[in-house]
Amino acid sequence: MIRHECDVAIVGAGPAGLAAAAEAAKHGVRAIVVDENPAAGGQYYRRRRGEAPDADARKMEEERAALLEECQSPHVTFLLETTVWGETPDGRLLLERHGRTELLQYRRLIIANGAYERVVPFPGWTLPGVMTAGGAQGLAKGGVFPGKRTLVAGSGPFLMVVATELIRSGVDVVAVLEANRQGALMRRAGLSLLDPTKGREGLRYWRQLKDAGVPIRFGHAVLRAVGEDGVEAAVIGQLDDEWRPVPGTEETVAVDTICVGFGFIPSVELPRLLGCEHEYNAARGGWVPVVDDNMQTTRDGVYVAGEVAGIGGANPAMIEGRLAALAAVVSLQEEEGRPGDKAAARRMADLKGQRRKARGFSDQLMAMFRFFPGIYDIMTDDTVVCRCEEVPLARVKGYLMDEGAGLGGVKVLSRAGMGRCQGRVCGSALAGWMARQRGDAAGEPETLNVRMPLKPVPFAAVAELDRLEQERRTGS
Amino acid sequence: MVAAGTTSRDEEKLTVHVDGIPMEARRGDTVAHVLLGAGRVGFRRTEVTGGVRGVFCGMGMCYDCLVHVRDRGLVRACMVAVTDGMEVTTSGREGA
Repeated sequence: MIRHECDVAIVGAGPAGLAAAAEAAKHGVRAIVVDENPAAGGQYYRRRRGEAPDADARKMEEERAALLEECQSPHVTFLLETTVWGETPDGRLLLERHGRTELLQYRRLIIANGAYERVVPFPGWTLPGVMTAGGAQGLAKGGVFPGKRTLVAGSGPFLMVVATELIRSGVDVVAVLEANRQGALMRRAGLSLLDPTKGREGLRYWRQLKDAGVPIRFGHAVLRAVGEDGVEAAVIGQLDDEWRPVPGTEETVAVDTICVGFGFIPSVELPRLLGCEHEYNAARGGWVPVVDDNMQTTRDGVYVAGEVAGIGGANPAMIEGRLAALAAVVSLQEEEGRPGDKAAARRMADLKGQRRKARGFSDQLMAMFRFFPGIYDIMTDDTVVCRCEEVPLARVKGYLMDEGAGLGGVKVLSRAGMGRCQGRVCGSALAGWMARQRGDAAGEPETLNVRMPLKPVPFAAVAELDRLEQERRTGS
Repeated sequence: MVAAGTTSRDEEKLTVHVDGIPMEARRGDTVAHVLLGAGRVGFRRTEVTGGVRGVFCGMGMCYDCLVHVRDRGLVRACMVAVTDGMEVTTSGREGA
């Protein structure tokens, strides 16, 4: 069994993880960066196939290259195609690579494993051609978007980013559908529009969509996907202020793909497994780890940075990556009895200031885009809620109404949430829909329990733990 | 694996066999890139109903895009980088 060892382990090689590794490299601490993907960069810096099509794309490629360059150090090792799936009783991370288990021992841990899209099930959403907005962006960047005519729908500023990327790829984006009404967005906008950088960026996307003749239809959503072997059309409709579909407003639009996303959910499975406390923060995507101003969680030596710490985009992510790494480095120095580093302390204070500003702006932007559970009315009894186990809403309904089960009970009885994705896709919709059915006041939704393995691993990888247990018992 | 991302090496041409058919790919492609590039949008059949799936999340979260890779077993097409000579078998052969 391969055993790795380092000073600072970093989970996730996206903007936050890379920024953390770059900072660690500067201070000569040994860092190991783990990522499931075959390439570093995360979702934000997903590699583009071919020439960058415009100045914005070129700038992003340059940023990516510069960050990777900073990480090129004898002190930094990347373990790619490697999944973190648990923790041993003595606090080592369990990794899986190509079907085998590896161990990672660390003195400090920075979790920077990002977020995933919030989706809302709808009739026909399992048809090939329906994908998440993030998935669409990745495929477009890779030059393999599987469609010619599409809709980008859901909610959040990310939809415009995706639509822009699709247009660059030569895809006909028929419309962007934003569930929030324009008036409601403007009303909640407040001061966020005054920030010159972000305001300009937002306007640029708007301009690109306008120039490409792509309408943004506020207060609209995809109600169902239609087709035999794949998407052939989308039925769209208006939503009221609570996001309930307005009867009589349906339109059918011929498309071969549908890109949907309702914002992002922090991937907090690992910090939850490690026992870190979490709190609910709606503007930041839901449950997020409780942290001090050094980005340390309630578990000593474990830090978080980036989207996993709360949705906010690449800017706060990179600041937090550096801050967490610096805090980890300083903490290691203290542990070793080394004298306090004044330069490091100054830099940390500076990064904290930057973080406050960056998070302040992103919080304001995200607060504009509220989420209303009325949208769950688009699900019918036949709608497959759990894609993995193919559980229709009707089956979930039966258990909720008859048995009065909570989220965990519904999972056990209906199998919804029991599949390979472990409830990452359906969990939020299940919890949100159930809360609405019960008439729960809007508040902290239930979540599915988290236990090892954090992602499916082959049995052979788990079987290797037997040897570890033997070692522990015999002290060898 | 140490390299975090390179340039010229990524344009290296490879051959990937998908359901017995040799297809051209480039280093840095994932299996999903190859499948979608060849027009295979629905390439997986689910275990429960045999429903057809393809790429949904594209980032390794949803486990819809499962394919079988020789000597690797069942993997997420969107997460696995192709190697020269890789043999991929899908469960949702179009027309099959």
